[in-house]
Amino acid sequence: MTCRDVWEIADSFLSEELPTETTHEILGHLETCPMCRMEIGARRRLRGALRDALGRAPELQPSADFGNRLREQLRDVSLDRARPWFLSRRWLALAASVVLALGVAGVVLTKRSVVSAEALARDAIGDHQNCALKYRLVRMPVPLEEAARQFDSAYRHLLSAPPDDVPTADGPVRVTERHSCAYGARRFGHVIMEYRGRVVSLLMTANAGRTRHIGQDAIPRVIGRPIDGLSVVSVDGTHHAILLVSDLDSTELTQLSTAVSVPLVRRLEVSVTPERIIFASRQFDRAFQLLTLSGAQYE
Amino acid sequence: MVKPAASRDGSDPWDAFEGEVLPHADRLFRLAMWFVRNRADAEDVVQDTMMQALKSFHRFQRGTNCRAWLTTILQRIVSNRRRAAGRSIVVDDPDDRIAQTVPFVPPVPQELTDELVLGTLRRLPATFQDVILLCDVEDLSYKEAAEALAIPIGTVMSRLHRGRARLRLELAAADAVLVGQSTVDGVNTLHERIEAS
Repeated sequence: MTCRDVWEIADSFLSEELPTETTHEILGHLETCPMCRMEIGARRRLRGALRDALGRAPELQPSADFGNRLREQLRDVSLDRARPWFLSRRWLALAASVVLALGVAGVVLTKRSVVSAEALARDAIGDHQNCALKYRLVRMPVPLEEAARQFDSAYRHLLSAPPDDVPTADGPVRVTERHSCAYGARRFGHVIMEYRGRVVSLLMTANAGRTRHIGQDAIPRVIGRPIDGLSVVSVDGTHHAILLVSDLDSTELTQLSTAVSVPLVRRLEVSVTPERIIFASRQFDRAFQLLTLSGAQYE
Repeated sequence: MVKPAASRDGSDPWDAFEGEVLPHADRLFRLAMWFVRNRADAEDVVQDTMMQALKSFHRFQRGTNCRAWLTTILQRIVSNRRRAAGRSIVVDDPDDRIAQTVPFVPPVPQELTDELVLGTLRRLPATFQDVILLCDVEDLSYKEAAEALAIPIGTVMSRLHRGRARLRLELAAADAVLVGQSTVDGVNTLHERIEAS
């Protein structure tokens, strides 16, 4: 092997991409050739300098909180989603048969999946920060009409509620934007408002696991713990939760929720006819019976 | 023997994901930052990459190169964003069709400052930057880099060969200017060689 040969394949040698025989030939040559040893050393030094420079460059480093934010978001998504690998073939077959048999009733079941209030509050705060404050969403917001067609027809209510201007005792609430956006695995109908110089997000999302029956009072309540000075007040509807997120203190936010969220929840309930409720309830009961039967059959 | 990362052995898939994938977040961010050159966009790219990895984690096989797998996902996301923004990189590089030899290999400068190295790498064509970054910095094999960039392995090798040669020429030229050893003619000669290679 000549020096020219070594120089031609020196980088592949350093990348350990050469066949064993060729590697041994190069090693043999290097034992007797100081010039090639120097050249290989120079290339190795250049690679090291590249790695060090990229590893150290301040402008390429993530911000201090990025790792934690990313971890939290992925963790929430991981918890909220049913992961396919949890399911054995038996359960996949069961799920397939249930899906085929129940159709619409499956949607009712899905909406009843239990998600903790803590996780809901975190998602709401995350969406408020990313969308209303920093405009750093992973997925672009979609217009409410389109979101109502694609995801949840209830988002249509947010086209006009709350109104563009809501007078309150402490000053007006002004709507600045209406759309639908997503944070992690959760989709929201999002109305961004201004109140006493603060940005307030009103978020509508499927009410998972905290169903309130029609007729019970819609009461604002603080959920989760404040994160980065942001609090969440929720009003539970029969199928949706209306959340307010802001850096207002929780008392002020609760008062604001009474002014804007409670009327919206009542409006949503008016649009749910008794016939629809009875139909959904029957479908759910039927789904549950079939699920139980199917489960017994597969056990 | 490889086995699925999220096997049905009762282990928590999140624990497996957290242990296997999340430690690469910082490196992925640096890579994303290099490609998109904007902090918010880089965070989005890494977030998208991780979401995609989480969704597909059941397909990842333990014992294979996790960083290469993540880099492939990241590279596709970056490519899609470039396409969407109308900044698609020309993949059909005419130079790829011409086998070139590098007749002149200047010495690597004695002092390689971060500023010099990064500035020089930035001046290379993006196609050269990509392969150098993946193979020489991220330690991907030629095959893994080819999969990540969706180009033939031969193209990876030829781009690396020419990219490394260009890097050395540019470094030598920049170093000559910095230390003031060279005359203007000398620097011009180097630049002519860079242009020719």
